[in-house]
Amino acid sequence: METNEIQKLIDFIAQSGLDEVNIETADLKIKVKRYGTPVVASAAPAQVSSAPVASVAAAAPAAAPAPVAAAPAASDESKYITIKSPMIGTFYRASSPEAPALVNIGDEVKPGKPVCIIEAMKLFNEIESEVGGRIVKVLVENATPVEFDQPLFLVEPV
Amino acid sequence: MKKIEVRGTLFPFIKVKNKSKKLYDSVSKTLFIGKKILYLPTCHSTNDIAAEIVREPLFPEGTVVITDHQTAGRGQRGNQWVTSQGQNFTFSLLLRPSFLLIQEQFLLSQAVALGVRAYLQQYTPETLVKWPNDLYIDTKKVGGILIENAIQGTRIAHSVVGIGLNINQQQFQSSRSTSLGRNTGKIFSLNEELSLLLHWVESYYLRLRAGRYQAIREEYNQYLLGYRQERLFRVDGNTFPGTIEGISDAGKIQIFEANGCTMQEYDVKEVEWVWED
Repeated sequence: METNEIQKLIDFIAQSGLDEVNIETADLKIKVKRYGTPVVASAAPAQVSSAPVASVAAAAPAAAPAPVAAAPAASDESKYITIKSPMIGTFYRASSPEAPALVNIGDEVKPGKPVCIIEAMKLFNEIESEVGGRIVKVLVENATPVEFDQPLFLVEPV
Repeated sequence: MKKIEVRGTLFPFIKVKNKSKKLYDSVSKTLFIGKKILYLPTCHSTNDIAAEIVREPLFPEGTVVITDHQTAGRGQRGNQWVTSQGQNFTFSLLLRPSFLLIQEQFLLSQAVALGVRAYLQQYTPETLVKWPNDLYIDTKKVGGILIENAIQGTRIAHSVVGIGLNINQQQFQSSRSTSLGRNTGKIFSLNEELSLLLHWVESYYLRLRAGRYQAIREEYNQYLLGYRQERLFRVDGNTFPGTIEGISDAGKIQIFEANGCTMQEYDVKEVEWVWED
């Protein structure tokens, strides 16, 4: 099955309202699962990334909603867990330039799940998550330097 | 024959120690490296296979994944490691250097490079390490190392050490490449050489495990290509004469720039080597 076929399948399931779909053929087994209710899945990231909040605010009466929207966003951030860099190096989202990102926004991670690669002096370090939850934000651009203890991902506990 | 399934494909699983008496003797010299060898006639990348089997109890520390033909070998991120089929070493070694702090990991790179260098030294005296971890005979590259660690919290849970070493290949596209065989005019038995090479790599890994960090750093400098010799470097497009004065604990190269009388530290991607011959 091609990547774009899988993408189409996921899009179809996303629009269907189904929570879980299992497809099994002779040479393929695919399981697509939606975590939580669809409302939460789209609303939570919207509060951390500013653009969708702004568009919602624009549809509503002008002045009032903006500060209201800001307050819950700040308190929401505090409930997230931060995955920090254990070392100095260059941050990569995938194990090689051709490979897909190890995690994307919305992905659920468990302790032990690799989330990124940090390279230093030709040593490639696969960083495993120590926490469980759903990735809500990637805080560092691919192929950029990171410092020790620099926040890399925001994770919403599940 | 016993077979092991990796990514849905069955591979023959060969315990090398039964294959030849000589090989058995030399592999028995090691404590744990090469006691289990997963031989794949062809595979995309031994590092990728090793990373997949690392959690299997069947493959303890010291397991070697070796192939005759690597189809998607990797050098430094994005650079391909191209090698002739069945003539050279392409293998990966599973290690668990949990005694090392994350910030001490360059020592692993140094120890492995010194082990491979010591092996080559038996046949050819002019064997040096080119910073950070390439192997050179005179001014030609004979091998490289690619290390991938898995980090859990503040510890290195395991390391996959990929080693590519040109042994019997005679023809090279690049004039900057060579092989042990081409340099010495001999043909080597890969089976026999593997045991010797693993013996040397293990010897340096044991020094690392014994905490002999300073000795490793000093020996690395001793065999560092260009150490304390003036040569040309390029930084941000500017070529300048400089001298390698040392390597920081983090692995950065310390270059004394003759014109400006300044000492600077550089990362791998920040400084380029300029060959003058």
